Amino acid sequence: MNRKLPKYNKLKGTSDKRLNRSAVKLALSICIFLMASLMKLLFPDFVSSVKTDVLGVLNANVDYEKAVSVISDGVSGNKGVKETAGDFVACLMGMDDDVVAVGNMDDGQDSEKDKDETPQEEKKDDEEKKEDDTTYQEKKESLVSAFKESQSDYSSYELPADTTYEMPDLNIVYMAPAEAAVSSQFGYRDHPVDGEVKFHYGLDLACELETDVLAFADGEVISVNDSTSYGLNVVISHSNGITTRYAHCSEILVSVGDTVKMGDVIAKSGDTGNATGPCLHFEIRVQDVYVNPEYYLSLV
Amino acid sequence: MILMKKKNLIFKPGFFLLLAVMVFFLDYDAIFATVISVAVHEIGHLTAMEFFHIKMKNIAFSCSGMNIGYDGKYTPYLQEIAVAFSGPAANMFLSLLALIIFKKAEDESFIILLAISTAVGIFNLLPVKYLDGGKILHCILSLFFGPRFADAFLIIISKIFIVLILFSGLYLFYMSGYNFTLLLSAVWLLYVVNR
Repeated sequence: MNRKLPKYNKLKGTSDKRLNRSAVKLALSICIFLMASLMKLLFPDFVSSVKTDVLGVLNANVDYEKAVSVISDGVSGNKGVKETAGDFVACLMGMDDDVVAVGNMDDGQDSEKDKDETPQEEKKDDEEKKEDDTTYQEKKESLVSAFKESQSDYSSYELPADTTYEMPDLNIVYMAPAEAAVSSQFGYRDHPVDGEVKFHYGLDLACELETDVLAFADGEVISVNDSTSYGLNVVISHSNGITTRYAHCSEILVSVGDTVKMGDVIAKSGDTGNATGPCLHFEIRVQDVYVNPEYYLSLV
Repeated sequence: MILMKKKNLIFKPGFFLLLAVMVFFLDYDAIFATVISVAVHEIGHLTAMEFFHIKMKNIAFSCSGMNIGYDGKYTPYLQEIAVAFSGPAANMFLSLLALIIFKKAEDESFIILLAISTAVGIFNLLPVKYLDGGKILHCILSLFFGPRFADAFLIIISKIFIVLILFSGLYLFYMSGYNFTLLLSAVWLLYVVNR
Protein backbone atom coordinates (compact mmCIF):
# COMPACT_ATOMS: atom_id res chain seq x y z
CA MET A 1 0.00 0.00 0.00
CA ASN A 2 1.38 3.35 -0.94
CA ARG A 3 1.09 5.50 2.11
CA LYS A 4 2.12 8.56 0.23
CA LEU A 5 -1.16 9.12 -1.58
CA PRO A 6 -2.43 12.58 -0.80
CA LYS A 7 -5.22 12.55 1.73
CA TYR A 8 -7.63 14.45 -0.41
CA ASN A 9 -8.15 11.42 -2.65
CA LYS A 10 -9.88 9.51 0.09
CA LEU A 11 -13.15 11.35 0.28
CA LYS A 12 -15.12 12.60 -2.67
CA GLY A 13 -17.34 15.61 -2.26
CA THR A 14 -15.31 17.19 0.45
CA SER A 15 -12.15 17.02 -1.62
CA ASP A 16 -12.15 20.76 -2.22
CA LYS A 17 -12.34 21.54 1.47
CA ARG A 18 -9.58 19.10 2.22
CA LEU A 19 -7.47 20.47 -0.57
CA ASN A 20 -7.84 23.92 0.88
CA ARG A 21 -7.01 22.73 4.36
CA SER A 22 -3.87 20.91 3.24
CA ALA A 23 -2.81 23.91 1.20
CA VAL A 24 -3.28 26.15 4.20
CA LYS A 25 -1.35 23.78 6.44
CA LEU A 26 1.47 23.63 3.94
CA ALA A 27 1.55 27.39 3.45
CA LEU A 28 1.57 27.91 7.21
CA SER A 29 4.44 25.52 7.75
CA ILE A 30 6.43 27.15 4.94
CA CYS A 31 5.86 30.53 6.60
CA ILE A 32 7.05 29.20 9.93
CA PHE A 33 10.16 27.83 8.29
CA LEU A 34 10.88 31.11 6.50
CA MET A 35 10.38 33.03 9.72
CA ALA A 36 12.76 30.72 11.57
CA SER A 37 15.38 31.17 8.84
CA LEU A 38 14.98 34.94 8.89
CA MET A 39 15.32 35.07 12.64
CA LYS A 40 18.40 32.92 12.48
CA LEU A 41 19.96 35.28 9.96
CA LEU A 42 18.88 38.57 11.44
CA PHE A 43 18.78 37.89 15.18
CA PRO A 44 21.27 35.11 15.83
CA ASP A 45 21.80 36.15 19.46
CA PHE A 46 18.12 35.93 20.28
CA VAL A 47 17.89 32.55 18.64
CA SER A 48 20.84 31.18 20.55
CA SER A 49 19.48 32.53 23.85
CA VAL A 50 16.16 30.76 23.22
CA LYS A 51 18.12 27.64 22.43
CA THR A 52 20.10 27.73 25.65
CA ASP A 53 16.92 28.39 27.64
CA VAL A 54 15.12 25.45 26.13
CA LEU A 55 18.11 23.15 26.44
CA GLY A 56 18.59 24.41 29.96
CA VAL A 57 15.10 23.32 30.81
CA LEU A 58 15.76 19.90 29.37
CA ASN A 59 19.08 19.73 31.13
CA ALA A 60 17.44 20.83 34.33
CA ASN A 61 19.03 20.11 37.65
CA VAL A 62 15.63 19.84 39.18
CA ASP A 63 15.56 20.46 42.90
CA TYR A 64 12.64 18.24 43.82
CA GLU A 65 12.95 18.98 47.50
CA LYS A 66 12.59 22.64 46.80
CA ALA A 67 9.60 22.01 44.61
CA VAL A 68 7.91 20.09 47.40
CA SER A 69 8.79 22.84 49.85
CA VAL A 70 7.13 25.33 47.54
CA ILE A 71 3.96 23.25 47.57
CA SER A 72 3.94 22.98 51.34
CA ASP A 73 4.49 26.73 51.55
CA GLY A 74 1.43 27.19 49.42
CA VAL A 75 -0.63 24.74 51.42
CA SER A 76 0.39 26.27 54.75
CA GLY A 77 -0.58 29.67 53.49
CA ASN A 78 2.84 31.27 53.43
CA LYS A 79 2.59 31.78 49.70
CA GLY A 80 -0.23 32.86 47.49
CA VAL A 81 -1.67 30.47 44.96
CA LYS A 82 -0.23 32.25 41.97
CA GLU A 83 3.20 32.52 43.54
CA THR A 84 3.14 28.86 44.55
CA ALA A 85 2.16 27.74 41.06
CA GLY A 86 4.80 29.92 39.44
CA ASP A 87 7.54 28.87 41.82
CA PHE A 88 6.60 25.20 41.50
CA VAL A 89 6.88 25.29 37.73
CA ALA A 90 10.13 27.23 37.99
CA CYS A 91 11.54 24.54 40.27
CA LEU A 92 10.55 21.75 37.90
CA MET A 93 12.18 23.57 35.02
CA GLY A 94 15.39 24.03 36.94
CA MET A 95 15.00 27.82 37.01
CA ASP A 96 14.63 28.03 40.75
CA ASP A 97 17.41 30.46 41.55
CA ASP A 98 14.95 33.14 42.64
CA VAL A 99 12.62 30.80 44.46
CA VAL A 100 12.60 30.95 48.21
CA ALA A 101 10.92 28.01 49.86
CA VAL A 102 10.86 27.33 53.53
CA GLY A 103 8.42 24.46 53.38
CA ASN A 104 8.69 22.01 56.18
CA MET A 105 12.29 22.53 57.19
CA ASP A 106 13.88 19.14 57.53
CA ASP A 107 17.06 19.16 59.49
CA GLY A 108 18.87 17.44 56.67
CA GLN A 109 18.39 20.26 54.18
CA ASP A 110 21.01 22.51 52.73
CA SER A 111 19.86 26.09 52.56
CA GLU A 112 21.56 28.10 55.18
CA LYS A 113 18.58 30.41 55.39
CA ASP A 114 20.68 33.37 54.38
CA LYS A 115 18.16 34.18 51.72
CA ASP A 116 17.09 37.41 50.07
CA GLU A 117 14.21 39.17 51.69
CA THR A 118 10.92 38.44 50.00
CA PRO A 119 7.51 39.84 50.80
CA GLN A 120 6.07 37.01 52.83
CA GLU A 121 3.35 36.94 55.40
CA GLU A 122 4.55 37.55 58.89
CA LYS A 123 4.17 34.51 61.07
CA LYS A 124 4.60 35.43 64.70
CA ASP A 125 5.02 32.71 67.20
CA ASP A 126 2.64 33.69 69.96
CA GLU A 127 3.51 31.15 72.55
CA GLU A 128 4.22 33.37 75.53
CA LYS A 129 2.89 31.78 78.70
CA LYS A 130 1.90 33.55 81.90
CA GLU A 131 4.81 34.14 84.24
CA ASP A 132 4.73 34.91 87.91
CA ASP A 133 8.23 36.36 87.82
CA THR A 134 7.72 39.92 86.58
CA THR A 135 11.44 40.71 86.59
CA TYR A 136 11.90 37.94 84.09
CA GLN A 137 9.14 39.46 82.03
CA GLU A 138 10.74 42.84 82.26
CA LYS A 139 14.10 41.47 81.23
CA LYS A 140 12.54 39.76 78.29
CA GLU A 141 10.73 42.87 77.21
CA SER A 142 13.84 44.97 77.36
CA LEU A 143 15.83 42.38 75.44
CA VAL A 144 13.20 42.13 72.76
CA SER A 145 12.67 45.84 72.39
CA ALA A 146 16.42 46.49 72.31
CA PHE A 147 16.82 43.91 69.59
CA LYS A 148 13.92 45.24 67.55
CA GLU A 149 15.48 48.65 67.87
CA SER A 150 18.74 47.31 66.49
CA GLN A 151 16.86 45.92 63.52
CA SER A 152 15.04 49.19 62.84
CA ASP A 153 17.22 49.89 59.79
CA TYR A 154 15.55 46.93 58.21
CA SER A 155 12.03 47.76 59.31
CA SER A 156 10.92 47.95 55.68
CA TYR A 157 11.67 44.26 55.28
CA GLU A 158 9.09 41.78 56.44
CA LEU A 159 10.25 38.87 58.52
CA PRO A 160 10.73 35.65 56.61
CA ALA A 161 8.32 32.84 57.32
CA ASP A 162 9.18 30.71 60.33
CA THR A 163 11.13 33.44 62.08
CA THR A 164 10.24 35.71 64.94
CA TYR A 165 11.71 38.55 66.93
CA GLU A 166 9.76 37.45 69.99
CA MET A 167 11.26 35.51 72.83
CA PRO A 168 9.23 32.42 73.61
CA ASP A 169 10.03 30.72 76.91
CA LEU A 170 12.15 27.64 76.44
CA ASN A 171 11.41 26.12 79.86
CA ILE A 172 14.50 24.00 79.75
CA VAL A 173 17.83 24.25 81.45
CA TYR A 174 20.46 25.42 79.02
CA MET A 175 23.91 26.88 78.66
CA ALA A 176 25.98 28.62 76.01
CA PRO A 177 27.30 26.26 73.31
CA ALA A 178 30.73 27.86 73.29
CA GLU A 179 32.72 30.32 75.31
CA ALA A 180 32.83 32.96 72.67
CA ALA A 181 31.61 36.41 71.86
CA VAL A 182 28.91 37.17 69.38
CA SER A 183 30.42 38.12 66.04
CA SER A 184 27.21 38.35 64.06
CA GLN A 185 23.67 38.76 65.32
CA PHE A 186 20.39 37.11 64.43
CA GLY A 187 18.06 38.92 62.05
CA TYR A 188 18.65 41.12 59.05
CA ARG A 189 22.20 42.08 58.24
CA ASP A 190 24.35 43.06 55.33
CA HIS A 191 25.66 39.62 54.50
CA PRO A 192 29.36 39.34 55.25
CA VAL A 193 30.19 37.24 52.21
CA ASP A 194 28.18 38.77 49.39
CA GLY A 195 27.07 42.14 50.74
CA GLU A 196 23.33 41.80 50.15
CA VAL A 197 20.74 42.33 52.85
CA LYS A 198 19.92 38.89 54.11
CA PHE A 199 18.27 37.35 57.10
CA HIS A 200 20.65 35.58 59.47
CA TYR A 201 18.79 32.68 60.99
CA GLY A 202 21.17 32.14 63.85
CA LEU A 203 23.96 33.62 65.86
CA ASP A 204 27.65 33.60 64.94
CA LEU A 205 30.02 33.12 67.87
CA ALA A 206 33.62 33.99 67.14
CA CYS A 207 35.84 31.17 68.25
CA GLU A 208 39.20 29.87 67.17
CA LEU A 209 39.39 26.66 65.22
CA GLU A 210 38.92 23.48 67.21
CA THR A 211 37.13 25.15 70.09
CA ASP A 212 34.84 22.79 71.99
CA VAL A 213 31.22 23.07 70.93
CA LEU A 214 28.89 22.12 73.76
CA ALA A 215 25.33 20.87 73.73
CA PHE A 216 22.95 23.71 74.56
CA ALA A 217 20.76 21.43 76.68
CA ASP A 218 19.88 17.77 77.19
CA GLY A 219 18.62 16.13 74.07
CA GLU A 220 19.09 13.69 71.25
CA VAL A 221 21.20 14.11 68.13
CA ILE A 222 18.85 14.01 65.18
CA SER A 223 21.06 15.07 62.31
CA VAL A 224 24.72 15.19 61.39
CA ASN A 225 25.49 16.42 57.90
CA ASP A 226 27.66 18.47 55.62
CA SER A 227 26.33 21.15 53.33
CA THR A 228 27.75 23.93 51.20
CA SER A 229 26.23 26.67 53.34
CA TYR A 230 26.27 25.22 56.85
CA GLY A 231 29.39 23.14 56.38
CA LEU A 232 29.72 20.34 58.90
CA ASN A 233 26.78 20.70 61.23
CA VAL A 234 24.85 18.81 63.87
CA VAL A 235 21.27 19.24 65.05
CA ILE A 236 20.05 18.30 68.49
CA SER A 237 16.44 17.91 69.52
CA HIS A 238 15.50 18.96 73.03
CA SER A 239 12.20 18.90 74.85
CA ASN A 240 9.31 21.31 74.26
CA GLY A 241 9.80 21.27 70.52
CA ILE A 242 13.16 22.99 70.71
CA THR A 243 15.97 22.12 68.31
CA THR A 244 19.43 23.61 68.02
CA ARG A 245 21.94 23.55 65.18
CA TYR A 246 25.71 23.96 65.44
CA ALA A 247 27.31 24.75 62.09
CA HIS A 248 30.66 25.50 60.38
CA CYS A 249 32.27 22.81 62.53
CA SER A 250 35.55 21.16 61.69
CA GLU A 251 34.59 17.91 63.34
CA ILE A 252 31.43 16.34 64.70
CA LEU A 253 31.94 14.10 67.69
CA VAL A 254 28.50 12.56 68.00
CA SER A 255 26.25 10.45 65.80
CA VAL A 256 22.59 10.48 64.99
CA GLY A 257 20.64 8.89 67.81
CA ASP A 258 23.13 9.72 70.57
CA THR A 259 21.66 11.10 73.77
CA VAL A 260 23.57 14.12 74.99
CA LYS A 261 23.58 16.07 78.21
CA MET A 262 23.82 19.81 78.46
CA GLY A 263 27.49 20.74 78.22
CA ASP A 264 28.65 17.58 76.43
CA VAL A 265 31.29 18.29 73.81
CA ILE A 266 29.52 17.47 70.57
CA ALA A 267 31.82 19.03 68.01
CA LYS A 268 34.91 21.08 67.30
CA SER A 269 34.41 24.51 65.79
CA GLY A 270 35.78 25.33 62.36
CA ASP A 271 35.11 27.37 59.25
CA THR A 272 33.49 24.86 56.95
CA GLY A 273 30.69 25.91 54.66
CA ASN A 274 29.77 29.50 53.87
CA ALA A 275 31.61 31.14 56.78
CA THR A 276 33.79 34.24 56.69
CA GLY A 277 36.14 32.88 59.28
CA PRO A 278 36.32 30.40 62.12
CA CYS A 279 33.09 30.65 64.09
CA LEU A 280 30.20 28.68 65.43
CA HIS A 281 26.86 29.34 63.74
CA PHE A 282 24.25 28.56 66.36
CA GLU A 283 20.52 28.33 65.69
CA ILE A 284 17.58 27.75 67.99
CA ARG A 285 14.20 26.72 66.69
CA VAL A 286 11.06 26.56 68.78
CA GLN A 287 8.33 24.53 67.05
CA ASP A 288 10.28 25.00 63.81
CA VAL A 289 10.36 28.78 64.17
CA TYR A 290 13.77 30.43 64.30
CA VAL A 291 14.28 32.58 67.38
CA ASN A 292 17.09 34.88 68.39
CA PRO A 293 19.58 32.77 70.37
CA GLU A 294 21.20 35.88 71.82
CA TYR A 295 18.14 36.51 73.97
CA TYR A 296 18.71 33.27 75.80
CA LEU A 297 22.48 33.38 75.95
CA SER A 298 22.45 36.83 77.46
CA LEU A 299 20.42 35.53 80.37
CA VAL A 300 22.85 32.73 81.20
CA MET B 1 17.84 10.90 -16.56
CA ILE B 2 15.01 10.17 -14.21
CA LEU B 3 11.64 11.62 -15.02
CA MET B 4 10.54 14.22 -12.53
CA LYS B 5 7.01 15.31 -13.19
CA LYS B 6 5.63 18.03 -11.04
CA LYS B 7 2.80 15.99 -9.58
CA ASN B 8 5.26 13.46 -8.22
CA LEU B 9 6.85 15.92 -5.81
CA ILE B 10 5.10 15.81 -2.49
CA PHE B 11 5.76 18.27 0.28
CA LYS B 12 4.15 17.76 3.65
CA PRO B 13 3.88 20.48 6.28
CA GLY B 14 5.83 18.37 8.79
CA PHE B 15 8.89 18.74 6.62
CA PHE B 16 8.96 22.52 6.91
CA LEU B 17 8.24 22.38 10.63
CA LEU B 18 11.17 20.02 11.00
CA LEU B 19 13.34 22.39 9.00
CA ALA B 20 12.19 25.32 11.15
CA VAL B 21 13.12 23.48 14.34
CA MET B 22 16.48 22.49 12.89
CA VAL B 23 17.24 26.03 11.77
CA PHE B 24 16.33 27.36 15.19
CA PHE B 25 18.22 24.91 17.32
CA LEU B 26 21.23 23.86 15.30
CA ASP B 27 24.38 25.65 14.31
CA TYR B 28 24.93 26.27 10.64
CA ASP B 29 27.51 23.48 10.58
CA ALA B 30 25.02 20.94 11.81
CA ILE B 31 22.23 22.16 9.51
CA PHE B 32 24.54 21.98 6.54
CA ALA B 33 25.77 18.54 7.55
CA THR B 34 22.25 17.17 8.02
CA VAL B 35 20.96 18.51 4.73
CA ILE B 36 23.98 17.23 2.84
CA SER B 37 23.82 13.82 4.52
CA VAL B 38 20.15 13.32 3.70
CA ALA B 39 20.63 14.56 0.15
CA VAL B 40 23.58 12.26 -0.45
CA HIS B 41 21.65 9.39 1.01
CA GLU B 42 18.79 9.89 -1.40
CA ILE B 43 21.15 10.48 -4.31
CA GLY B 44 22.63 7.09 -3.47
CA HIS B 45 19.18 5.54 -3.78
CA LEU B 46 18.52 7.41 -7.00
CA THR B 47 21.80 6.34 -8.54
CA ALA B 48 21.04 2.70 -7.92
CA MET B 49 17.53 3.13 -9.26
CA GLU B 50 18.87 4.73 -12.39
CA PHE B 51 21.37 1.91 -12.78
CA PHE B 52 18.67 -0.72 -12.64
CA HIS B 53 16.24 1.37 -14.68
CA ILE B 54 13.73 1.41 -11.87
CA LYS B 55 11.18 4.12 -12.39
CA MET B 56 10.68 6.54 -9.56
CA LYS B 57 7.08 7.09 -8.55
CA ASN B 58 7.38 10.09 -6.29
CA ILE B 59 9.65 12.01 -3.97
CA ALA B 60 8.11 12.89 -0.65
CA PHE B 61 9.41 15.42 1.84
CA SER B 62 7.88 14.79 5.22
CA CYS B 63 8.74 15.17 8.86
CA SER B 64 10.74 11.94 8.64
CA GLY B 65 12.94 13.40 5.92
CA MET B 66 13.16 12.72 2.24
CA ASN B 67 11.73 9.55 0.79
CA ILE B 68 11.85 8.22 -2.75
CA GLY B 69 9.03 5.93 -3.72
CA TYR B 70 9.07 3.36 -6.46
CA ASP B 71 6.95 0.43 -7.49
CA GLY B 72 8.55 -2.54 -5.83
CA LYS B 73 6.13 -5.13 -7.18
CA TYR B 74 8.09 -5.95 -10.29
CA THR B 75 11.57 -5.25 -9.04
CA PRO B 76 13.69 -8.30 -8.33
CA TYR B 77 14.65 -8.74 -4.69
CA LEU B 78 18.35 -8.43 -5.38
CA GLN B 79 17.83 -5.13 -7.12
CA GLU B 80 15.76 -3.89 -4.21
CA ILE B 81 18.53 -4.88 -1.84
CA ALA B 82 21.05 -2.97 -3.93
CA VAL B 83 18.86 0.12 -4.08
CA ALA B 84 18.18 0.02 -0.37
CA PHE B 85 21.81 -0.47 0.46
CA SER B 86 23.11 2.24 -1.82
CA GLY B 87 21.66 4.96 0.42
CA PRO B 88 23.72 4.09 3.48
CA ALA B 89 26.63 3.22 1.21
CA ALA B 90 26.57 6.75 -0.19
CA ASN B 91 26.59 8.04 3.39
CA MET B 92 29.67 5.95 4.12
CA PHE B 93 31.42 7.41 1.12
CA LEU B 94 30.49 10.88 2.29
CA SER B 95 31.85 10.12 5.74
CA LEU B 96 35.09 8.92 4.24
CA LEU B 97 35.31 12.04 2.13
CA ALA B 98 34.62 14.21 5.17
CA LEU B 99 37.36 12.40 7.08
CA ILE B 100 39.89 12.96 4.28
CA ILE B 101 39.00 16.63 3.94
CA PHE B 102 39.23 17.07 7.69
CA LYS B 103 42.69 15.52 7.76
CA LYS B 104 43.81 17.86 4.99
CA ALA B 105 41.99 21.02 5.96
CA GLU B 106 41.87 20.60 9.75
CA ASP B 107 38.42 22.18 9.68
CA GLU B 108 36.26 21.11 12.62
CA SER B 109 32.99 21.42 10.72
CA PHE B 110 33.91 18.35 8.70
CA ILE B 111 33.91 16.32 11.86
CA ILE B 112 30.27 17.24 12.27
CA LEU B 113 29.60 16.20 8.69
CA LEU B 114 31.43 12.95 9.31
CA ALA B 115 29.45 12.27 12.45
CA ILE B 116 26.02 13.10 11.05
CA SER B 117 26.60 11.28 7.79
CA THR B 118 27.73 8.16 9.62
CA ALA B 119 24.79 8.39 11.98
CA VAL B 120 22.32 8.68 9.10
CA GLY B 121 23.94 5.73 7.38
CA ILE B 122 23.99 3.45 10.40
CA PHE B 123 20.53 4.44 11.55
CA ASN B 124 19.08 3.60 8.15
CA LEU B 125 20.78 0.21 8.21
CA LEU B 126 18.96 -0.85 11.36
CA PRO B 127 16.60 -3.76 10.71
CA VAL B 128 13.43 -1.85 11.38
CA LYS B 129 10.45 -2.00 9.10
CA TYR B 130 10.47 1.35 7.30
CA LEU B 131 14.23 1.86 7.25
CA ASP B 132 16.58 0.71 4.53
CA GLY B 133 17.95 -2.01 6.78
CA GLY B 134 14.46 -3.33 7.28
CA LYS B 135 13.89 -3.39 3.57
CA ILE B 136 17.12 -5.30 2.99
CA LEU B 137 16.20 -7.83 5.66
CA HIS B 138 12.73 -8.23 4.21
CA CYS B 139 14.11 -8.89 0.76
CA ILE B 140 16.67 -11.43 1.99
CA LEU B 141 14.05 -13.25 4.04
CA SER B 142 11.58 -13.17 1.16
CA LEU B 143 14.18 -14.75 -1.09
CA PHE B 144 14.57 -17.69 1.23
CA PHE B 145 11.26 -17.96 3.05
CA GLY B 146 8.73 -15.97 1.06
CA PRO B 147 7.15 -12.59 1.70
CA ARG B 148 4.59 -13.66 4.30
CA PHE B 149 7.22 -15.06 6.61
CA ALA B 150 9.43 -12.07 5.89
CA ASP B 151 6.63 -9.68 6.95
CA ALA B 152 6.00 -11.45 10.22
CA PHE B 153 9.65 -11.86 11.10
CA LEU B 154 10.45 -8.28 10.21
CA ILE B 155 7.76 -6.96 12.52
CA ILE B 156 9.18 -8.91 15.43
CA ILE B 157 12.77 -7.93 14.74
CA SER B 158 11.70 -4.31 14.26
CA LYS B 159 10.04 -4.19 17.62
CA ILE B 160 13.06 -5.70 19.33
CA PHE B 161 15.35 -3.16 17.77
CA ILE B 162 13.02 -0.29 18.55
CA VAL B 163 13.19 -1.25 22.18
CA LEU B 164 16.98 -1.29 21.96
CA ILE B 165 16.99 2.12 20.32
CA LEU B 166 14.60 3.38 22.95
CA PHE B 167 16.94 2.36 25.74
CA SER B 168 19.92 3.81 23.91
CA GLY B 169 17.95 7.02 23.50
CA LEU B 170 17.12 7.12 27.19
CA TYR B 171 20.75 6.52 28.06
CA LEU B 172 21.91 9.23 25.70
CA PHE B 173 19.37 11.65 27.12
CA TYR B 174 20.37 10.80 30.68
CA MET B 175 24.10 11.12 30.00
CA SER B 176 23.97 14.29 27.95
CA GLY B 177 21.15 15.91 29.85
CA TYR B 178 19.53 17.31 26.74
CA ASN B 179 20.05 15.13 23.67
CA PHE B 180 16.62 13.63 23.04
CA THR B 181 17.09 13.06 19.30
CA LEU B 182 17.63 9.32 19.56
CA LEU B 183 14.74 9.04 21.98
CA LEU B 184 12.53 10.94 19.60
CA SER B 185 13.55 8.68 16.73
CA ALA B 186 12.70 5.63 18.81
CA VAL B 187 9.29 7.02 19.72
CA TRP B 188 8.58 7.93 16.13
CA LEU B 189 9.59 4.47 14.92
CA LEU B 190 7.36 2.94 17.57
CA TYR B 191 4.45 4.98 16.30
CA VAL B 192 5.09 4.21 12.63
CA VAL B 193 5.58 0.48 13.10
CA ASN B 194 2.43 0.12 15.16
CA ARG B 195 0.18 2.07 12.82
